[in-house]
Amino acid sequence: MPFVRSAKLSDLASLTAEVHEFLAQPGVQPGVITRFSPDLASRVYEEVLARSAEDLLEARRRERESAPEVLAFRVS
Amino acid sequence: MLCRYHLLPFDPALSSDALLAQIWSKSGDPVHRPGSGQWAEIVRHLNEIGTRTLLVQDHVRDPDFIDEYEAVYSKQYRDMDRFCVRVHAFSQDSGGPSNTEEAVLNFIDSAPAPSYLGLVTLRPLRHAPIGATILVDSPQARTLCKDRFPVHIAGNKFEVLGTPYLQQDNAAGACAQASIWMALRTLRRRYGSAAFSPAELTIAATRYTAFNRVFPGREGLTVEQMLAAIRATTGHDTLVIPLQERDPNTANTFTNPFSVVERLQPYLESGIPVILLLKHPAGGHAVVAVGLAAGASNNNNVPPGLVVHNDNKGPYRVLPFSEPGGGYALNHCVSALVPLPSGVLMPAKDAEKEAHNQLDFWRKALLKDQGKRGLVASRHLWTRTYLCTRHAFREWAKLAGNLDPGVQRIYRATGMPPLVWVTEIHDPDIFDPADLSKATRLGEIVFDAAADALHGDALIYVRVSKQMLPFEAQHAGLLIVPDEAVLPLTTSEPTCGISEPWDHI
Repeated sequence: MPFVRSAKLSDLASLTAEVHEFLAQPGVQPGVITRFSPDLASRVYEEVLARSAEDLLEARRRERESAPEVLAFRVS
Repeated sequence: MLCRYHLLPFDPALSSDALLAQIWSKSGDPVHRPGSGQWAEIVRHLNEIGTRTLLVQDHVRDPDFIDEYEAVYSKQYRDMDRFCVRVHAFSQDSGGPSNTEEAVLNFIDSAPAPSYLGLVTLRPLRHAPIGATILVDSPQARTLCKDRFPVHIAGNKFEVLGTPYLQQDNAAGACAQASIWMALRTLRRRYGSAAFSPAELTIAATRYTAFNRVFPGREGLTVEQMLAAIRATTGHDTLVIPLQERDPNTANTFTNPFSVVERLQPYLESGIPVILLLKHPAGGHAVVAVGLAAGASNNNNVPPGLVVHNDNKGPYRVLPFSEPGGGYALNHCVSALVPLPSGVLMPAKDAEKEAHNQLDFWRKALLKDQGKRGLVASRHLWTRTYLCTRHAFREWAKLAGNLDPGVQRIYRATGMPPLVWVTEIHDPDIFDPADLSKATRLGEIVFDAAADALHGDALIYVRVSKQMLPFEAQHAGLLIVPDEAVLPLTTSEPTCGISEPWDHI
């Protein structure tokens, strides 16, 4: 039995519009693989995939700080 | 030679102590004290899973107990039995108690494979009778972390699909070793690990850091020692998840049980048992989470607790959010140990966060009228994240009849890493958390589990579909593929989810 949760949403307006324009081109047809331009692909990566880097780094820092306390905990 | 098997009809009306006395009356002198809480829980579970007959097997050389015996009990002067009694459970009637070889063998030979419900090992220890035990789960406590274990009885091969359980003996090991044993034994076949007894785990844990004598091992272990034991014996690269938060006003620490479930759910859905470390008023304790408590529904997606194996209480018990009576609860958790297979570098939390970012971006890009972009959030969705083998993922793609043919070809034919994080996206109007066979899956986001979310090259696939939007879409759906390309879909009918993503290892 799975446990599910809501997806959080936020905005990335200009890049979204640019990708939307690309998808609206006549050459982009159902069932046909179309390549992004290298520039667009790299910006999608930079802005979408790596946008949460600061959050990730902060979470990792917090976990590092609590590590000594966590490791010394004894169970019996 | 006397027959070492005996048949015993299972009478649910009999008390657990009376049943234990019956078993020992078949197997020799009783050595157990009455009142074992773990045995009582096991008897309750035997009743829940529909047990009708017990097959009592004497003179069992149980490898885990033999190790415990050699490490501790063989040192004492007086003789002590080193053999165990094993009790096999069947859902088939035996026709009455019998000790004759013919009747016993006839029963074993005629028992259908599905009637076998598992085994309980009874150690010859007065204070801690429950040894290696594997029973099927019950409808009241379904588990996600389990495996199939072969069992050979008198020339017949049976199989039990369950989660191994063991009670600490407080001499060769304590709750820490029992919990590690339960978690690693569940994963043994899947990741090719050898089997390690509690005594071996104690030695591995104290090899470099011991705070007292190694044996008797009743002092317990620190988290650091538990990590050392897991790493030294199996090579699993254990992830430690701190579960306590700090109140910004008082600086006091506390545990939010909702967060515990949220953090651990992806690992449990991946079939990976999670060792929970509890700070209870009675002392530190470890239990193993093996499933999500029943109770989540389409309207309420939060399970009311976790299903755990608690070595000092019993198997398949629900660990609730809180326990006013003073028992163990999720709000006692201080941290969790996840015995991840080596090579899984991305934790579930990172995969989920990145998946939500991808979903956010590509849903909006798919929208036909960009003026309504800000309203995309009004289409609520549910996500479910788990670690999955590429084989299970490809099999799902092959069998998902509603999947777009182009997507099927790409999923089945392109290269994939051995393990991936999959975030399934479901239609909240019809999704049933208790039934993954329903076609409610609208898409998925797939990451390489061996990549780091910070460094990139982690994304494998993104599939979004028009049903994820509150307004008209530009295409039926999109598949974003690894070589920086996109496949607009011809169809985007909902499909089903994957119920056992750990299979095929």
